[in-house]
Amino acid sequence: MKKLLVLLLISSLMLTSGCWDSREIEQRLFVTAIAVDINEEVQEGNVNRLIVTYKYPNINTIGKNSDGGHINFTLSVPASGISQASTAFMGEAPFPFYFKHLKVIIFSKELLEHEELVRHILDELNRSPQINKRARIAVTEGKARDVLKVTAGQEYRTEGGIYQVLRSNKFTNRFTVKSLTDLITDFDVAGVTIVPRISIVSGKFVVSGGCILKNYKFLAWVDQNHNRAINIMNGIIGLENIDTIYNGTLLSYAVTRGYSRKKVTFDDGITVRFDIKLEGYLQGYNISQKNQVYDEKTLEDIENNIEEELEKKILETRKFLDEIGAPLFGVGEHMSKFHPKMWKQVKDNWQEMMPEVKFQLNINVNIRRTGLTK
Amino acid sequence: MKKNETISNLQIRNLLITTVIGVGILALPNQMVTILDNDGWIPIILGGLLVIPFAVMLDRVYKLYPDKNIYQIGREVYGKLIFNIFMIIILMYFVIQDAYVARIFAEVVKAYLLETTPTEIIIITILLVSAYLARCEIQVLGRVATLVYIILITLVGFLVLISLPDADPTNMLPVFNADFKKLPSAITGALFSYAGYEVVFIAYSSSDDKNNILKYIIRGLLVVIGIYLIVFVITLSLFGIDQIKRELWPTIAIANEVDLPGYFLENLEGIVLALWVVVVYSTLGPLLFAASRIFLNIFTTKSHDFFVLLLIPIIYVISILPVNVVEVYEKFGKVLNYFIAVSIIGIPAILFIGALVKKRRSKA
Repeated sequence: MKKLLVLLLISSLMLTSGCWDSREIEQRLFVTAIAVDINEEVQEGNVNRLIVTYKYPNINTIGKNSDGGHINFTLSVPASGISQASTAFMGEAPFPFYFKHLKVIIFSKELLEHEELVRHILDELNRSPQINKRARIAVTEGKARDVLKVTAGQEYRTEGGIYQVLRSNKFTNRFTVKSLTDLITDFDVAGVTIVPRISIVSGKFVVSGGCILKNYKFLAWVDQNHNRAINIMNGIIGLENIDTIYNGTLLSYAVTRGYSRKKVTFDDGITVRFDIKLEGYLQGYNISQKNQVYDEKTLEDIENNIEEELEKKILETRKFLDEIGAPLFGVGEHMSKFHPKMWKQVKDNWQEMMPEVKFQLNINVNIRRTGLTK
Repeated sequence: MKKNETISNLQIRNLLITTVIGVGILALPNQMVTILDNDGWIPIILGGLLVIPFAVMLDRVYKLYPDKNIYQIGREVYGKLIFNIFMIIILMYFVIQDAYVARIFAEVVKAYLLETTPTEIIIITILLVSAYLARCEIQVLGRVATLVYIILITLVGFLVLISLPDADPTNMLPVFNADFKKLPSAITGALFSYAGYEVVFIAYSSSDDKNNILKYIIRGLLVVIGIYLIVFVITLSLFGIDQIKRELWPTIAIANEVDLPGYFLENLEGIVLALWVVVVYSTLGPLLFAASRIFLNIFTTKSHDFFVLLLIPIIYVISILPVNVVEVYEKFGKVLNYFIAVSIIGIPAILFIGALVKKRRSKA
């Protein structure tokens, strides 16, 4: 009798599989991306200052017996916050929303001009046990909801295309991947951060360059060249191409890996030495009999050429960042970790001091291979 | 006690580890970082080492009175009435500790897993399951502890594994830079994370090899220190100092920080919590067992299982007293801290001094 009871109880577990909180899996809407815009038509005193857009996959198109139709749905509603929107949606969506698979959060530039809204949204996202803190952040110049709407039909099933692009810096350095935690930590540590820029170009999304945020507010856009320099300085080095003019012809160098290390000294003001080492191969030069690169001297010469080019770019970027007041090279963070006593003295007027900090760039480019030809 | 009611020292060690590690591990990194910034690992070590002298005292007391259990020793040293008052204080401590653990357990489970389930149901369910364990004899507890020990190691290993890809070890820096005037308060804070080791008071007399038991107790404490340190290091290197100060339960929050390829394999807090539930279970069970054992000795009954059921409603009522999660930690936790101080430090010291004095006198 007892055994039978146990057996019955165990077998009853089988009936409960697939559901959670007494709700079947197909009766949930898995939000994969959220776009947040500013609500322009809001009147004074109304708390619904945002327009929140959810994107969720059409579960019916997944699997063998898919019946076609839209791959993704998007819904927009004026709301005061991200989760608050989900109750506002209950009038039009058949099932409740579920955020554990949220992958991408897109903010519009207009929204980022309101510090208090940004702070509110970040706090809400950080507080929620539902939201994966590794969701990727991106910023768009236009309406964030348009990015989701345009891409809704193009996404391959549930694996979001935007997410795949924003996932890592492994294959590109043209933007800086930023997750929710990274974003919050950057604001904590330096008060400045850089987030990928996403834009719509002829009906498709493009991620390139970044958006600098300072103290929870929009500061400036950066193009992909500056962004690449920022990444290299911070040691975020994925597969990358560097173009330079060598002997009057275009030469491209492919970076396969590398690192960047900082060392701060205080002998004569603050001096930061960056040891940047890049490894890679020669991607392309100029086909002809006399333009061979297959000797050590030429390779060294090319390496020097690339180093100079890179140094020029980095210094340009630094000038630009100093002008807008965005210390993005991680020097402050480095000092707070390795020179805490010095950091205590300078951290209050770090931003004003930043242009006076001397940079010593020690770039070391290595061409390990020249490809199949000499 | 019957002759065959013994457990091995290894089981006692596991019992110690699984009882001590429970809900405290979730908030510990946050509490330490809030007081001592990046140097929070120091009080974790010192707090753990501070417990060892008291374990040694306890061992001495047992050596002075071989073949007796803690109640018999206590009565012999202090007399029945006074020792019963001690026992009632310890009983209250076990009950409050049980209520505290059950409540935090319910808060975490509700936040992460069962949003729509009432807190009361979660508390009652875990208490009833623990009661089932607590009604058994000490050998069963020892066996469960050994089983849970493996699960605990799996849990810690899993947390390390999922936090590795995004961890930044330089977040540990700078070291030795905190305000060390705060160290004493940090150590007291850390000491409370070692509450629960008192179960060895009760398990001691059931050991099958009393000569080597101290070695196992100390090893157990070192394992606990090690696990706390690992958790501290991974949470700090993953979150950084500012974010960890914000997090209520940084240890579980690790599960929200993972980024694995694929879409539907991402709900890792389910796995982490499932393992953690077992760990909490092995905290609640022994504590409940210890509480009902005290009852048994006060009333000198044959079996303790009736008292377990008696305690459940009391624990339940205490656990639902705090109105919100802040009160759980701020008020409930504070009250509990006094009891923990008495139980970790007070009882072994009082027993040790009393026993020593008594023995000297009887010799003279």
